[in-house]
Amino acid sequence: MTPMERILGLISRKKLDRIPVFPFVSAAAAKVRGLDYGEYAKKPDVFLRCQIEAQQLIGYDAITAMPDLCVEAQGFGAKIIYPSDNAAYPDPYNPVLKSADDYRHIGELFSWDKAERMNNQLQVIRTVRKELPGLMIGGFTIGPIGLISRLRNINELVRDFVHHPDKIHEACEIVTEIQIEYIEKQLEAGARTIMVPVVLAEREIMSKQMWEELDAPYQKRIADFVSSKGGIYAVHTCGRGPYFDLLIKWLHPLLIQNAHLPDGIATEEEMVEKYSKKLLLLGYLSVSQLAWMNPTEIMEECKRQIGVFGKARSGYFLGASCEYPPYASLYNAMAVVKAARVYGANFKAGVGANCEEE
Amino acid sequence: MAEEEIMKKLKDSVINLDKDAAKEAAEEALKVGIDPLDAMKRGLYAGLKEVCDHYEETVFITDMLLASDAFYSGAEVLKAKIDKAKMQKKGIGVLGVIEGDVHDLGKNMLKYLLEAEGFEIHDLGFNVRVGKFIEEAHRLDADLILVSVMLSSKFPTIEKIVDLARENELKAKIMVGGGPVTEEIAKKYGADGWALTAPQAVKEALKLVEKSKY
Ligand code: B12
Repeated sequence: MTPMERILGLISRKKLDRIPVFPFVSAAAAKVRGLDYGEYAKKPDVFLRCQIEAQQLIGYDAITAMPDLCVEAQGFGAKIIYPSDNAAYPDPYNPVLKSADDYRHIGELFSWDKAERMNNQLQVIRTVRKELPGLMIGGFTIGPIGLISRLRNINELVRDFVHHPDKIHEACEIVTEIQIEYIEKQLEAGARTIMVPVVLAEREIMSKQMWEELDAPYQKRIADFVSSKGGIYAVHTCGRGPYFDLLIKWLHPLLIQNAHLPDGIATEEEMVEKYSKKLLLLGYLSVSQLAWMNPTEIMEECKRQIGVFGKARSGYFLGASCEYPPYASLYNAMAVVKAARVYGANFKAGVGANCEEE
Repeated sequence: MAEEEIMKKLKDSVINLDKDAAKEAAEEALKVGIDPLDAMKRGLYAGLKEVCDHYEETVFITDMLLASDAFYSGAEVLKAKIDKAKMQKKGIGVLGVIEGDVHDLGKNMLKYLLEAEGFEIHDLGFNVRVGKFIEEAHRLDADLILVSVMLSSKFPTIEKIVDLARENELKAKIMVGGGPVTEEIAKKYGADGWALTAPQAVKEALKLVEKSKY
């Protein structure tokens, strides 16, 4: 089966040759050409070569068009720092939004002409679509408050959540429209999936009520837009206790990727039981595991996870709960794919591996 | 207003995350002659503690940060009048986010809580060189080196800090924490202490300082 057939087959509950795999290799792909990460993240042709070669070398099923989480921030004027061994991040000493009064001017900071990194991402999607139609490529937006968190000091942003929610709403209105336009361009370029990190809907960060007031309405606009265009809408979470109940209620994602158990859930089995009827699961290899386990341990862990999550009713992708650590050896990504072949053969959503039905 | 009433006002101002009310209550406390140290401990700090005690179940980052802000706004007023000699220091800590890492929200929270508890904290900020932790701990004869780590790529750097502290025979105990750091990781890289959350870290810090006395 081609990667695309495998993924679409999982969604439509067909029997597959093996469980689909998504180790979320982004910056780590630079390693296949022994490149410095900065070089890879800045040049779309280099990025694309590395992505394609890493996929061909390792054999996973989907690639990402996103080099790191500061693609959109650059378009809004953030100075991006490119470390040689880790993902890029915005200059923490010089945030773009210096006071809460700057929120309302956020739209003036952006222009498509200046948004080199967003345009690069579109070019990558277009090329993959044309040259490798059998490969699934995912589009991405960081979401309204996600973007704002790259432009404003996070400590101040958390205070603004409480002291200046009206100003944040003003900014979100503007940013959401720009992000919807960005998503439309990505879908037109050929992305089938749009993944959005919804990291505020988490037990550790804010209350359910605050998330529903502050972030949910804008995330919903994005989710509805993706679905209305026939795209697959997927949510990424990364902190402890993600609010799966609210994410489902507001956003109806086809898939959620998570690193920690959802809020109110005590075991992995309970998570499968409670949520897998409503959505596909993606994960659950942590950044620490991928970084610090050896390939044999990774194979064992994948076997265990296929055992637990393989029973997920709507389906399950074996993969990383977050971006594959750029500094980790690629052997572990290979071990994940090998585990899918060895322990995840003849896979079907709701049944798991070694399915005997047709 | 009676003393107990003002104490309650101080405490409630923090619980209600109300910076202005905290400042006002602190001014009132001074006006009626309440001992500022007492107002800090039984008033403001009691409030902060109550917020922290619920962190695991019903309190969020947003609340913790704002409760700390309220605490500080009242404490600023009181501090000026506290007899320094009477202030009992729980210990000296050097705190920072590990080299290459700029996540500082957790670190700041820990700083606020440790200071409120009575530690003297020297905040080195984020992206702190290994050597800087050691130099500062040495210079201040610190009891604790507190290292916040949010990127798992930086785990091995914990070991470097631990090794260098031992090489330099520092008395400071080393505590690590931050999102991906588990107790196992802390042990593996040789740290003396670890905690999942900032309120738990304060308890752990008190224990470590206590232990190092014997
Ligand atoms: C906000 C954020 C950012 C902001 C940081 C702004 C800032 N000034 O802090 C920005 C946008 C800059 C950012 C950048 C990056 N981030 Co970031 N970020 C986050 C996010 C969403 C929240 C972190 C946070 O503030 N949590 C809240 C605080 C209060 O929690 P905490 O730090 O854990 O602290 C608590 C306890 O751990 C404890 N504690 C903290 N320190 C200490 C110290 C001691 C001694 C003790 C005892 C206890 C203790 O007390 C605190 C309160 O209880 C997390 C995801 C998540 N939901 O956790 C990712 C996350 C931490 N980021 C991540 C990554 C990879 C990055 C980037 C490399 C790029 C990227 N992919 O985004 C860059 C790296 C930049 C760099 N070089 O550091 C990963 C780390 C993965 C890993 N395990 O290695 C995470 C987990 C997201 C993810 N899954 O990809 N990020």
